[in-house]
Amino acid sequence: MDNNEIILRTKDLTKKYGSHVVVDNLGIEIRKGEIFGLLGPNGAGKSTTMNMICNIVNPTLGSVEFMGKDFRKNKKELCRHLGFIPQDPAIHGNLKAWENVELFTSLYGIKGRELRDRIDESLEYVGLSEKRNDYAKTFSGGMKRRLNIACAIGHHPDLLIFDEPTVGIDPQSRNFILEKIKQSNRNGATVIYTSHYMEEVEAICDRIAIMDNGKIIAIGTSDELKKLVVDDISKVTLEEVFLTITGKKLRDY
Amino acid sequence: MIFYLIKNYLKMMLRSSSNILMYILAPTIVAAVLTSAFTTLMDSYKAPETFEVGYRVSEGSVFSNGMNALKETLNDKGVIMTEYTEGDPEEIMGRMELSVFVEFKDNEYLLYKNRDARVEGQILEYALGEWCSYMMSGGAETVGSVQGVGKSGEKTAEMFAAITEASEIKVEHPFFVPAIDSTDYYGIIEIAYFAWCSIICGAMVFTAEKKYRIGRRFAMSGVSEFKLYISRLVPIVMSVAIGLLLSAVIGIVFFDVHWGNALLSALVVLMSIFAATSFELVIYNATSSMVATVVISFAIVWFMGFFGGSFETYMFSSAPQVLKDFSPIYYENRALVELSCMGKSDYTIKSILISGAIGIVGSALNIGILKLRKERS
Ligand SMILES: Nc1ncnc2c1ncn2[C@@H]1O[C@H](COP(=O)(O)OP(=O)(O)O)[C@@H](O)[C@H]1O
Ligand SMILES: [Mg+2]
Repeated sequence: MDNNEIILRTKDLTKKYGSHVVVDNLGIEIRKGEIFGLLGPNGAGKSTTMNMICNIVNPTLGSVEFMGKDFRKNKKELCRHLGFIPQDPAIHGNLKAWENVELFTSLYGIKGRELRDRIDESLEYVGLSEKRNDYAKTFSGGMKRRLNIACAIGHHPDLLIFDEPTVGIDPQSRNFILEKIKQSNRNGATVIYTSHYMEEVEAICDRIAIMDNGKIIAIGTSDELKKLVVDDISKVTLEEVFLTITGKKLRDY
Repeated sequence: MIFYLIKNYLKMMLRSSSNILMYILAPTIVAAVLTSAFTTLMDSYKAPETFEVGYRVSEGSVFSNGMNALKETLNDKGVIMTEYTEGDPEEIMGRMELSVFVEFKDNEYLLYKNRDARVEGQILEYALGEWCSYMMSGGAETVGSVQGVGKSGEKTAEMFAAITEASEIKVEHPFFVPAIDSTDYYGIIEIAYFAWCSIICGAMVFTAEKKYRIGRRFAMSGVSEFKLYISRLVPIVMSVAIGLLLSAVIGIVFFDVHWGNALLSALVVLMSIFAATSFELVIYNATSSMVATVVISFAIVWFMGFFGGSFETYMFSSAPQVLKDFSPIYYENRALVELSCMGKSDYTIKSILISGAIGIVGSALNIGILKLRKERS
């Protein structure tokens, strides 16, 4: 594979909490321009992996290479190319929608007129322009999720990481968010998308990694994954793939 | 970048009205309560317009050179010093109806106080303590007010002797017994006290920030610990300053509180807000718990206030001088009270320096702790 195509690569990425190995020697490669899905049950270590990639949590071992450089060593330079949408909204309820976007976009050195334009653009993008002067605390769950996204895209990152952006929200918001992820990708951003909803992952991702107990147990397109289990891929879902490989269900219903 | 951080944090703090109300109302209410509680008490501190003090200086006493300074200053306060070269002090006090008699010996002094004239005795004690400090070029921390029938320590006397031998003593109202009423005292001092409770102003914002783990966004944006710290410090200092300023205005307009030198007083209070915020943020960053921070800092501040004159006036408080000396609030209170009644105070600069030192050390600690936390995450 052409090395230039890899935008992000993890090497032996490991996180231990005490003796509990949460992420175990993870090596994944994300190709430029793709939507990469990380599928795994709750507690698989998806968020921890994303947090390590984003320099929020320090790895116990291993490294992350981003845009051809060691991310931790070139953080100042590289962090503005990365946008992270955390699982649970990280926004200030006592700030208005636009102020939240201003605060978090300004962290990347954007200011003045440009910052104002980016605020408008980000809010427009997630469909919150009309609510720009409302306090975030008055927002519904779905709106908070959307604002959470707006706060992460104002600096025009090349790589967008969505950590379970659709958990616990209404179907409408969910479809909206999935559509936005595809739109961002069409606009040129590489996307990592984590979820435990296999239908979503299957619908929007180019490649999928299945994660369980801190390890990647299978990786490929959805068809490739299905072929691991049966020859006739129309007869199997990702859910069953997961069940066959791990012997357990992806979701606790 | 830091501008937008500060701006938005300031907005959040000013928006929580209960927060700002605390800094406006709490000092006013506490001052009103203490004023009414202590008016009669402080009135009882008021000595008669003039009273007479007997004294005697033994030949070769280290104190004799400073005697003019003492007499002139006390005279301005209506305290007349009369020398009695002969006789037993107690007998003289009885005969002349003196409430206080001071015997200046070679290198110590004895203070005789009439049991019924507590205030006069206290004024003299305080004045003599101040006088000694002044004579020792104003800076001697070893001299305190003398307790009961007191002696000055030997160390004091030695230093005193050294100074008096070396220098001509100028008389220019060298030391001072504050004549302040309870309205002014508590009106001023409670503002100073609440300046030390500044962390409350950040409590709601920080609690929300922790709950929603907003630190993640800061961590991944690579914003430096210095900027992160400044973006918390500055909005708190500004919000508290705004609240206390309004409180002070209420005091001036409705209760006729006199501040003396507004600019210097404001600077003293502002510096103490800086010190308090920085210090309390150290506790917060170290414990990561707002509840623990509030409990710990309020306990410390309460003791500082207790010894520093925030509840009982520092002039007549029975707290040992050492404990006062350890309380930054003491320096601040004293600076503010003296600024109020004399328009100047040696304690102004001391208080500013102490606050500045606490603030700077605290800031360094904060940045250090934040860095350490990031490495440990
Ligand atoms: N700070 C932490 N301390 C201890 N254990 C943690 C911590 N964060 C996550 N874990 C554990 O790591 C495991 C993986 O968590 P997480 O990465 O959130 O999984 P996922 O996002 O796939 O649901 C869980 O068992 C969780 O309890
Ligand atoms: Mg998760």
